[in-house]
Amino acid sequence: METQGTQDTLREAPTADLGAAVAEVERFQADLHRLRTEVARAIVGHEEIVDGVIAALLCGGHALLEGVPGLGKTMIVRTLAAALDLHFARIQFTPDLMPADILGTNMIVEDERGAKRFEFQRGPIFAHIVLADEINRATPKTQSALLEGMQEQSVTVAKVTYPLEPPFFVLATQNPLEMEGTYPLPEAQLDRFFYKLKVAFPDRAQLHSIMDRTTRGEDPAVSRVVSRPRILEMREVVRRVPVARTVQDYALRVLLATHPDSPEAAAITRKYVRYGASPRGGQALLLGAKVRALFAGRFAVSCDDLRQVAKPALRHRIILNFEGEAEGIGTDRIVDEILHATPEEAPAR
Amino acid sequence: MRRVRRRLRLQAALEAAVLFAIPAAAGVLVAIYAWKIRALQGRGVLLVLAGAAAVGLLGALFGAGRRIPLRRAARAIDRAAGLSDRLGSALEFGPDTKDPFEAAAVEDATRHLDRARPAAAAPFAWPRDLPALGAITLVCLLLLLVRVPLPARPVPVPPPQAATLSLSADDIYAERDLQRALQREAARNDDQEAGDLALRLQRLLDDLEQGKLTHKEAFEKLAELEQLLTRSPAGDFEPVLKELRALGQTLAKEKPTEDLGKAMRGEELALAKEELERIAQKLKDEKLSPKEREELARALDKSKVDTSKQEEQERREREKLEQQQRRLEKERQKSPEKSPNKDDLKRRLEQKRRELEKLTRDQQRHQERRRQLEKLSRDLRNAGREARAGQQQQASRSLEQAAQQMGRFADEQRRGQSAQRMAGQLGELKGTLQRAGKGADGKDGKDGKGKGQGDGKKGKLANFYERAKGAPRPGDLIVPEQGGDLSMEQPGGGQQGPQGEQPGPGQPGEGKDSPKGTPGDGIGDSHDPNLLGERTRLRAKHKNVLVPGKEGAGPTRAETILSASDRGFSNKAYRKVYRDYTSVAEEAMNREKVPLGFKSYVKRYFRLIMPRE
Repeated sequence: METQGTQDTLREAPTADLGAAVAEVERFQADLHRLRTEVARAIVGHEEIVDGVIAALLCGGHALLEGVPGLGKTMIVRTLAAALDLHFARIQFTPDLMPADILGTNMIVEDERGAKRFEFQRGPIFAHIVLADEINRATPKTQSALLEGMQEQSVTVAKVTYPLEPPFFVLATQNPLEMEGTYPLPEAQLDRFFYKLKVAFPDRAQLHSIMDRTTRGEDPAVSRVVSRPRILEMREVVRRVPVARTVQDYALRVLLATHPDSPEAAAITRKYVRYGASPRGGQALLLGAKVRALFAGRFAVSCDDLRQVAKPALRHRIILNFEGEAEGIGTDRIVDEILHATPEEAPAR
Repeated sequence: MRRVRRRLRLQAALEAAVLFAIPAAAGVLVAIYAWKIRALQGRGVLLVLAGAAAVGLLGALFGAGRRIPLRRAARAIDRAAGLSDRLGSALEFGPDTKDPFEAAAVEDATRHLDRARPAAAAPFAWPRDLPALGAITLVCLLLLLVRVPLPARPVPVPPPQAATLSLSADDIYAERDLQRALQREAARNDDQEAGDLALRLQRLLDDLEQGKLTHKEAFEKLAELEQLLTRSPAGDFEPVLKELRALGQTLAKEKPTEDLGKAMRGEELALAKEELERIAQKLKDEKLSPKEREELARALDKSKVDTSKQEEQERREREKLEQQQRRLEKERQKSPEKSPNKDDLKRRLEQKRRELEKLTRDQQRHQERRRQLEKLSRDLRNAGREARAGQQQQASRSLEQAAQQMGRFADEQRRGQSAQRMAGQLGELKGTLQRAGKGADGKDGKDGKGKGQGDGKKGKLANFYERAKGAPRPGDLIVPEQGGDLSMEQPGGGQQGPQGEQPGPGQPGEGKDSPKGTPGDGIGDSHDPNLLGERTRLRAKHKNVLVPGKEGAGPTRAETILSASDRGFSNKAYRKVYRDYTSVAEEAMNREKVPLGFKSYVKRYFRLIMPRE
């Protein structure tokens, strides 16, 4: 087997940086492993959800969880926050929730001398990890208060801008059952979420574990395993993972395949899709794939990584047309068919 | 990776070879089939095989020559070994990358190279088009083994030939009879033109009897004959006859010229000529008394023909001629070469030219006749004057000149009558051709069976014709009993009479026999084919008795008709009777008293009983 020649071809990189890179990746993997393990002590199953949440956090994005109540969505976030030693805040969105309830408000405070002044009382958004529970129940005005903070990484109250301390991670939840009296997030707002993760109902084995853990008085404590600065470092590592041009080309062809007017559009796209994923979707694809590569201990992104993150990255960014909605075509199916129809190697022109 | 690339190239060559081989194999299949049906030699098949192999090889070369990037080989290894694009990414990053992560990726790929398996990365697979090629190859092999029936060669179908028309001798007997009569007359009168017409008619009848002509050709020849007839100088003789009848009417009132006048009144110009010669002979022999000469002169003084109508007719013809000439000139001035309808114009020009020629001929003829009439009149008056003056010899010569002129008129009359008879006969022949063309049962009559005629009656009709002429005389046709050619009676030669029948007094003729068949209640829808009736074989003792003729009023009409079967149709009285009855019959047919379909039967009947010479 001709490996020697290939080895000679490949083995010419500077070793110092190479070692640092290797060490970083190894450390990344170790921290990630610890984090997963710690979260798994409190959360049964949902490995994909946990990985997705972590990936979104590490990519600097936000995640949208969709699932019926009682699946542990809040638990996941709370546990993650505890393992990461990050400030956690939970906001239960209700129809009467006001933006000030999220952002904070100026309040009159009296000092020791009795002088009164306005003091901004920070709202729950100023946490590191914010759980926006049932975000579709609040009014669009209230939703926008949160979404502005997600986008800008800061809030502005009474013309004063207050930056949000990184890492700022919002995990929003949606209940797919209660659609009456809700305010579904508009597509433009959905696009701001890095991932949309669907929480599935646990299987029987998982349910046994859940019952065992939650009904026997055992309440495992979650320790901090990754510090806040480390999270920020890990974010940097993620961004340094290289993507081969051909792999990136594959990612973009997948992205373009979601657009019905594109030449690369799949047949199902032309039939059921009104609008395709924005470039944010491409960013989510690549960043998410980078995290996956690091998860696997690799130094470069593979096409398979892209395929793995395609659904969470694109499912909420594809807008169906009337025919798609009438026929109940799910965006997951569209992503599947796109992945099936898009070859890894670009066709010769 | 190079090894993988080689394998990939080989696979591509195989795929391309199979793809190219499919149409080549189809060609081989066709070649084998062609060889099996002997449309192609074995060598040709080998050539096709070699060509197919070459095409396959060409396909392999084409497939192998296609560029296979190293990246593709790397990807194949990555997929096969589950390397998650390590190798592919590493190749892209290259060994000289400065990025530590890329360098790490390259090193990572290098570390995993031992997992690479070229065989797993580029396994040889059966080309996807191989089943199609296999199927065609299988069919080729089967075709080699089985026996292929040779396709039947199409037999060239000969072009359809138009059926020729064949008439039996019986069908055209009357026409032959007329043709011979015309030929004799032409020979007698030394009429070249009539002789030519008769010869043409003979040739036409011969061709018809021998089946040499198609329906179309027969009618074309018939049309040619009719055209020649219209050009015959014996054209419209009626105006001359009218003048002669009028003159005859005048002369018949005087005793010396009574016979002459009657002959002229009866249009018997040959008789009129004889009368003139008789009178001329009398004058020459000076057998007339002065009183008789005076009576003769007085009669002849009245012989003045009125040619004013002739002149009027000539004037009209001249005008018509001039008008035709002007029209022709106008047509000529229209340049036919440039006109889009030049063929049509040429045809009209030709037509006008022929009309002009005819008019010119007619006019010349009428002028000639007018001059002849005037000369006749002048000769008769001169004869009268000379007879009155006692110049009998000069009067005789004048009458001889008048007789000659009358003879010329008689010739012309005969020619006209011949032409009329011929035209009538041609019309009959046309009808016969039309009937023969349709055929009774689709047959073209080659077997001799025409409509209404059979073998058994062939001799019967010939016998009838023979009897219709009366006793055979020198120059008469001799009709054989059963087929054979007609021959002419030689002067002094033996004669072949009709079988078993001798003309004699008291012997009933066949005309008295009633035709067989169920009598109808009026006009039937068919006719008795036995036109001649049953032959009787009454054998009785007889002896020939010469009965001298008597001068008298002659036999009655009924006697003439009844005796026609004994004496034949060739006597003067019968001729007169025939003429009378024919004119009545024609008048009746013209007035449509006879159904259209039966006119041909009436005509045929009168043709059969027409006077013979």
